[in-house]
Amino acid sequence: MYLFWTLLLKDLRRIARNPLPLVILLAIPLVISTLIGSAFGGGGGGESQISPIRLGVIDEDDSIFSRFMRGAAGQSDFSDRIQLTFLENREESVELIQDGELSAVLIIPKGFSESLVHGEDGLKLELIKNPAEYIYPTLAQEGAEVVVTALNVLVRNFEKDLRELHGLLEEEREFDFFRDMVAITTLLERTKNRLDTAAIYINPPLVTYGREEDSDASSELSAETDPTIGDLEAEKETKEEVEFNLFAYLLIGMVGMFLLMIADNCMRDLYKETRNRTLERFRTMRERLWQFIAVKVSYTVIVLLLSFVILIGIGSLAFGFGWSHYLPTLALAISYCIFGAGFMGLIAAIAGKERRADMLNTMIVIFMSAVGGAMWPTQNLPPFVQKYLTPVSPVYWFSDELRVLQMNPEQSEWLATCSLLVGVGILTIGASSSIFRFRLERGIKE
Amino acid sequence: MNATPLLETHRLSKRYGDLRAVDEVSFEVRPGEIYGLLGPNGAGKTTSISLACGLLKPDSGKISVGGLDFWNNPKAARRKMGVVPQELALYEELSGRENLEFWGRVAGLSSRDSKTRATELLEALTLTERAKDVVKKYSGGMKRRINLGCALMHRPSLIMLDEPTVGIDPQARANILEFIKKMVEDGVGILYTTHYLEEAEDLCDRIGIIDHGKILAEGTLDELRGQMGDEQLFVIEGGFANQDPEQWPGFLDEFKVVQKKDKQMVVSASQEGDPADYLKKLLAVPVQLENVTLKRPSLNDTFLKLTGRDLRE
Repeated sequence: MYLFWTLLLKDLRRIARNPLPLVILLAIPLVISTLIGSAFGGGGGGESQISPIRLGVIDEDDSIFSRFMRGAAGQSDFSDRIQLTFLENREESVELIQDGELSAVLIIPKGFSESLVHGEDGLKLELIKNPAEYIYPTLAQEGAEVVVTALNVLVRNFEKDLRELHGLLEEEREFDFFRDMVAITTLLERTKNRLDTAAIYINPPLVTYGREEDSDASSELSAETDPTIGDLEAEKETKEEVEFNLFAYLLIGMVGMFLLMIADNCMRDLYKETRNRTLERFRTMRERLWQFIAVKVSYTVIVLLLSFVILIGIGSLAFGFGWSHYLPTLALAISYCIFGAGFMGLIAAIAGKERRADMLNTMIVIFMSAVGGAMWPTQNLPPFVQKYLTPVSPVYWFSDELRVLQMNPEQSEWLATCSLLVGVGILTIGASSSIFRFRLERGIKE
Repeated sequence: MNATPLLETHRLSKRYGDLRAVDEVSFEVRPGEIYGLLGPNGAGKTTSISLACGLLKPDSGKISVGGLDFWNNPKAARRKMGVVPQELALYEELSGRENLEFWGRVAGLSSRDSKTRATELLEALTLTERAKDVVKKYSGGMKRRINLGCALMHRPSLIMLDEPTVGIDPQARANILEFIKKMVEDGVGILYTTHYLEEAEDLCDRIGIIDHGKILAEGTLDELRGQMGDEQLFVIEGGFANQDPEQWPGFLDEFKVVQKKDKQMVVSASQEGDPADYLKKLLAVPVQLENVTLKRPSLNDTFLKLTGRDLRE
């Protein structure tokens, strides 16, 4: 054990004296999580995963339709998704786009509604997109295209009714309550009758969308809480438990990816020791090489665990989310670190040369992370990848299990995942140690 | 000397594919002596030392350390030897003291003993003032001294030094050579490889000249010089590019050509005689000579005679 601690302290001292490579590998996942998380609205709490699109509107038409739009802007469902800002003129919109205050500006030209209800051709809505942004202007454009399609459908089917309604609301004439109410009622009744006729074709819909609450979890939780508080409180508690946080989601994937990068860096230290002749000197003093390799594996696991704690700690502070289920989380982290040391060590050992190992390991980590959902949800991957590659990616085993553990702990099978990771880790540690020993005894040439 | 050799190699051989890196090399290092392996780069010096210290396994041959077969008692053999590799084998992120203490512990010293020994060695190597600095900040000479110190932590009786002065300034080299001489006074045996003639001449008690993996000659400096006999060496300078000494009438009856280059030839007199007579005969060769020098044979001349090429080539 004396030699073990001597070698281990030496390695830890070395990394403490030259921490830059490790700091870089720790900073990258935090930066990537911040960038991607910020781009998509950051840490949740609400139902929307994406922050509202900031859309400017220049209403040159000032008609019933644009007034309808102003009314909708005040409703919470709408404002959760689109934050409308009504502007006076185009100069103001250009300034706001240049300042990054708006993602796009919709211009409703003068006489738009008039022309629309009269079925005139060549009607145009203008959309100015912020060239400095990509996602939100694209979303705004797609939204505008949906609106145009909807208007087309509306005009084609209700042209006469719309014209009549427009006449009632917009024409300048003396207001006659009885006459106007009769006209409006007749118009609404006619529209209703037409919709009733169409209803059998569109209702009930063939495909529906709905969201299910986990009733079992809710009932379990309500049983544990004060019965006088009632179901409403219990439901609120359940929602807090499964609250989605984009930063946390991304960070877990990034941690899975970059822990392997760090493992690679640590295990490749064996090549560095060969290059620096320190391993050669060791071999002039000690016969058994396995001790040297075993210490390097232990050193890698320790550095990985420290890195894990630093990453989730900083992530937690920076992005304002809390971690729960500490023991299963720690067990999962330790298992993954054992796996990382063994697996990356095995690839480095098979590669046979430091540069080749560096290249090979980076490619394999990126591939495993990509198919394992480190950078994006696995549901967005092609079906072939989802079916055949994702399930065998250890990055997926770790990151998916940790996500489940944090967001839906009752569905977590962390013990099985830990066993799998440790099992593969021990096998790969054994294999990599044997191959390294074989190579080092014969002298690695760089 | 009748004492058991500290190191004895017997017909060591090592091949890399078709290349015979070491070919039946035999030598021994006795207590209190410095045995030098002298040869140009690629001669097989480092491979020989790697075989001797157990870094490489020989294809054939035997190695004994203190009378014990190395591969039957590798642990005991390793304890007796300290190896200083040709390239620096240090952790640059650690200080000089930390490097010494670390290697002391690896060699089996306790924590306290390694601290005490490190202090002694830092003093002896005149590095006490810079002991706490990281090795990265050391000069080349200081790194070489720490590199040497790391192999001495466990007080080995046999030290193997593989070109320990390569790439350092003359002052640092002188310091290291002085330190090595002091170690021998304590009865330590040293195997020293070098391609510097002056070092071998100045330092080594016995020298083995090695080239193409073979020991060509072995002995003390005087014994090796004696292989040239009482020959008188003449260095003649002129234009010899298109000349063939065999065509010069009677030349080869009087002289042996040791080395021929485009502008210089080294020849030795075939028999003892008056140097003035030989000078006259040399001046009579059908070539415009620019200079003729008479000199005593050196180690390099022995090497030249044995290999046909200069050690510095």
